[in-house]
Amino acid sequence: MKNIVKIFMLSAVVAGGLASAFQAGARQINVRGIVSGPDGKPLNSVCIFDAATNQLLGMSNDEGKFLVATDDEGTLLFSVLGSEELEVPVEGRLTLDVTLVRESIQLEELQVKGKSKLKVVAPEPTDLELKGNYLTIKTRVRVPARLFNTSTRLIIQPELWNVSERRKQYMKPLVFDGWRYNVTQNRMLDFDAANEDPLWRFVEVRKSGGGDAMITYHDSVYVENPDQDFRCDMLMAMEDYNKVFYRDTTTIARGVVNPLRFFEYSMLGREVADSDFFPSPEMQLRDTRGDVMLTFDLGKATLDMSRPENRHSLDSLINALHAIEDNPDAAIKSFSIFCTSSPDGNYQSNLELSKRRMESALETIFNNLSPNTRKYAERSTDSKVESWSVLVDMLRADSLNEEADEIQKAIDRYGDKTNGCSNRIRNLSFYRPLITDTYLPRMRRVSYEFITSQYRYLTDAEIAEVYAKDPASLSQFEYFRLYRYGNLDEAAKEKVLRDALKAHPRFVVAANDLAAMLINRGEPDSELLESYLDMNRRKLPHEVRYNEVAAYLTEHRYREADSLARLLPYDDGLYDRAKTHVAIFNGQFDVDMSDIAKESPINEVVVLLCVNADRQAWNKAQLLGDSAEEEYIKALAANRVDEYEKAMHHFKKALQLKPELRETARVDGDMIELLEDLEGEQ
Amino acid sequence: MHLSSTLRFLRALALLGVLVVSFSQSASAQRVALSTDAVDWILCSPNLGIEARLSRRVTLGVNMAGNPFKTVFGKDDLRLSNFRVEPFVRYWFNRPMARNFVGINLLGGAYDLRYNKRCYTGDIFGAGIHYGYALVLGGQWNVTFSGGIGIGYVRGFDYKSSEDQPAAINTSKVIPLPDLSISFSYIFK
Repeated sequence: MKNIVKIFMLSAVVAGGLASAFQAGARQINVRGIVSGPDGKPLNSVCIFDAATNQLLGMSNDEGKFLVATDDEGTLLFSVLGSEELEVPVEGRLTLDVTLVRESIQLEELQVKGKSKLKVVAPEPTDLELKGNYLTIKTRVRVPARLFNTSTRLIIQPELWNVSERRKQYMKPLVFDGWRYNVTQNRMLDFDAANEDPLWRFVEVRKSGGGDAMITYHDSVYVENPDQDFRCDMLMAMEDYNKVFYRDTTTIARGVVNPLRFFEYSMLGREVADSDFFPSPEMQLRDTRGDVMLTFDLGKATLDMSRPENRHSLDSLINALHAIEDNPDAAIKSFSIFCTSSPDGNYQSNLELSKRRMESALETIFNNLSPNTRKYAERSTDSKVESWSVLVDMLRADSLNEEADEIQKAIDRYGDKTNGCSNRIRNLSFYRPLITDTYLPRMRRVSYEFITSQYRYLTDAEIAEVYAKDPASLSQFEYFRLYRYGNLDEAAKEKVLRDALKAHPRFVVAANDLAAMLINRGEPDSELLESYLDMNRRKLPHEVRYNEVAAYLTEHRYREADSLARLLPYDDGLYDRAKTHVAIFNGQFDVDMSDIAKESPINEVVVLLCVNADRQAWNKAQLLGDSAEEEYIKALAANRVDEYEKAMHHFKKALQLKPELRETARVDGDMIELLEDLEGEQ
Repeated sequence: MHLSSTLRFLRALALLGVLVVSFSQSASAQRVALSTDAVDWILCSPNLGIEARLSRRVTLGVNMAGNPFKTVFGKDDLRLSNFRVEPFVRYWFNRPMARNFVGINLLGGAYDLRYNKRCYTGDIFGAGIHYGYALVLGGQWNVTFSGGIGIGYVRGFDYKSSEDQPAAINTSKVIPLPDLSISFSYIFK
């Protein structure tokens, strides 16, 4: 399950398309119409086939309406359980209203009569069919007349067992009251049947008389995961005023009939592509260190501006500061100035001198700045006297090692930064002019450092650095740059995305891109995007809904997928395909079937099986390939048309190729009995 | 003398019946059934019964029948007037006022019969048990069949119609009391 959500992946072979390709001259037309039954009522879920190719073209909807694309010279075959099949030539008509005749079901009625000799309430075994997230059960229950009289109540309570989770869920009960049972309920003291009888709203009052009653039952139950194993038991009880005199439980269905478990589709996770939704860049307040450090040559206590180097240094400093003042996103946060004096002369007076120079320098600089800057910028000053050991290093750097050794001796003897040391050095023979003229001026200087606070865009390197230190301070845009363009591996990217969502819970693009990543990894998480779905429609990228639909489908939340897929745009591509898949998983087969057949022959057979077009399904299934899943589908289709030997043959092949399919068969209402037969054989 | 005491007793019983009914009605929006007995009508006694529930199984009621006029049957020689009050308690095996029940009943009454040139006048007190079946005809309608047996104590006057009534009670005896009724009831919602 890497990078693709799929059930099975196969190349598409168009089976039915070949035949129509040879019919030269035929024109494709859209035929609309209404299918109704003998009573004039519209019939839904009627399958409409191309009679020549047995290609399923479409189905009628709840109003009996259909729309199929077919040849203007073709013939349509209408088929639905309970009615006779009907072939109608199109003859170029755009509208075809057809009426189907009820199929004679004498055989079934005979069986019912035969059974009625029994003295028990007998529900007919049936199938649990899946439609979307709903398990549907349809059955008939025969109630012998002799059990039922006017003073009895019959309760038929189907219960759906989730065998996998060992959980029981009650379906809608059927409650039949004899009319005397019903009217005397309210004769009891302090008993208000409408409020106190828990079954009251299900009660149907049956008049006495007639033979055995045949009751039809139909209900569906929402299930979270239809892939689990289900069983349906029918609990039946009859009671009179005083006691339950009949009680029985029968299993009427095992496994879930759900050919869609073999429906193949692929929905890759999609990152947001529309740049309108990308977070806009945000400037961050960052401290910036002035990167030049200028040094002034010093003579006296004040800065000597007559010296051109000093003038130039100051001008460039003041220009830099003015530039910051003019930038609306920046402010000077602090200004520090350091003053260093040479160590010649008296140490204390040197220090005094150094301080005065520094204040003079600060004064000169601040006089050039705006009052506000002066007001808000932090100032700090520091002054010091340089140590003689710096001179040692300077001399050595200039390869004057002998002189350096002499000075080092003086330092060792008197200690650095002492007057004794200074006196000793002043008396050295090379002190003048070498030290006084060349080195001492280099040891006197005023330097400054300023830090500006500035709103600006971070560089990618800075983003990475900040992310390492303080991930919560990054903006959406910076996270976006980091995970989209940061060349991260998948694990790192996921971590960045999760951190991004921690810092910015409404960061929909990150949530979407994380969801897409998880989908592609085969671990979709629909919770991730759920909270964004109620956002303004225009503010929500389509990809969010698309990814959520993909996640829902994997999690079997078909109903939610359906309502969400409806909001996807029409694009004749990815989104429309997603909508078709969602519709099919919801049991809405009134979609363009030719697309499905084109997409995959397996899907075509699966859909045919879903709509109980068993004969057509078996015909098409025989053309399938010989992968394990295809063999399984062949077995299933063969079993549906009672081709027992063939079903067993294909089933064995499927299990040989993929023994895990045995577990699928165990929960598959179509195959459970075949599997038991097979296991009995073995 | 003794007749007026009988009437006092009857009044007391009637009052009791009314109290029972009004009590049970106020206790909870009660369902009360009114019934009338076909057998009494054959005897030309207008009659009315009222019945109310005490529990899911038990009902309490009273039947009253009375014919204050001397009904003349056929020739002049057969006349009857009577007045009767019958409180009863019934236990229902299924639901109140549906299907089988058993009950006990008390009886108090006065009679005045002239037959075959003899007059029988007096009062009667009795008790009995009965069994019955209420056939549910519909939401509010029942027909109830019941039969039972009891004993009664009769005292009064027994004299020739050509003579005057004796001054003192001249007859008193214990008699078996068969009880048969087919009554139609209407159960108020």
